[in-house]
Amino acid sequence: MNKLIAIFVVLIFGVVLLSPFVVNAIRGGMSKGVSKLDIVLPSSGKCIKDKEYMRANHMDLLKKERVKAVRDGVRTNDYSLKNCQTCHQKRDEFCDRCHHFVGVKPECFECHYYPTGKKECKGRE
Amino acid sequence: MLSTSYIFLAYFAIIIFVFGILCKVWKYAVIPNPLKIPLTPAPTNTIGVILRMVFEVAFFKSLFKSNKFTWLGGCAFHLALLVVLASHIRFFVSPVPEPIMLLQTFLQSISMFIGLLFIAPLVYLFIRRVWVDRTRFVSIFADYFVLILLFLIGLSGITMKYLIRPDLFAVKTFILGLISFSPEPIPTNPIFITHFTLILILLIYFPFSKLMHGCGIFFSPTRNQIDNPREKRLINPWDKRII
Repeated sequence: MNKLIAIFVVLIFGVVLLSPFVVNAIRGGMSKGVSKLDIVLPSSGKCIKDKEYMRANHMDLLKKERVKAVRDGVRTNDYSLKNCQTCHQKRDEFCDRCHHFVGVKPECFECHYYPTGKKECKGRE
Repeated sequence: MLSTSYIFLAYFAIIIFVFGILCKVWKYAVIPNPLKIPLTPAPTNTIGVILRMVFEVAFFKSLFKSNKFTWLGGCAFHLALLVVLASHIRFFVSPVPEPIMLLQTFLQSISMFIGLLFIAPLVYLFIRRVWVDRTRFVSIFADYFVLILLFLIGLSGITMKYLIRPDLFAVKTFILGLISFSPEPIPTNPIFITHFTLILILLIYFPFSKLMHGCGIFFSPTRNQIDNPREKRLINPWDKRII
């Protein structure tokens, strides 16, 4: 009786612990080499803040900008999505790559248009 | 240097965690049950016992029957733990599967609530431990230690989400590197390092602590035994040679 339970417990435990390995093996997440951030960066120009800050905190800037525009009616162009687009023109080559990789789904693009670089129009994605 | 020591420590912690749990489960499995002691009213067939265990594990039924306030705290915390762990799956799989992405989209919208649901019950259970005389009397350091450890893990997690954000790309790269055995450098965000350190401490401590109740509950004889002592006689394992 107790041995059966032990097998059951170890099975659950094993499935939970091993599932990421299995999923990664099936879907080929490991083979691609994860160390490289696969985004297309503009060849020239400088971002409004340094790279490290932007990687971690860009959503703060966008949110502050949103609050300023929506609540206070102050529209500036410094930290807006539109200003991003001047250098990072295609969403699927910039924003989406990282967001898909870490599994974050920003709400920006549910309303805001940001060209994806794909030819056909699939609506919101 | 920091990366090397952390990668080493991480593998060390995982080995302790896995083998510690396996050893403990083995120990639970081979220990004999000399007596038939199901806590009545108990089910009289196997399906009944399975149902009883499901209710016990999923809803903490016996705790509900004994103390509603403790049950509320425990239930809230375990629910939050489940949700938090589910939302951490995205750091371990690449590419993130669609169902997990959908789950994540939902969890993102209620993330602050989940964070509170994680740490508030811990504070509540801590206060209960100090406040209620009987509970304080039977509490030892280990009881407080687990609560504090989990609280700090939750707090550092929330801090990482809302105040001092790490570069998530670096975090995921680091974790994928660990689980694919091709280690990458650890992200430099101090809060991430704190969070990660606390998790490693938890992993190392887990098999030796009362947190093993997650595995041990399945082996509790008062819950997992069928109430059929007359239909099927239980012979004490070390009496077999006499009978």
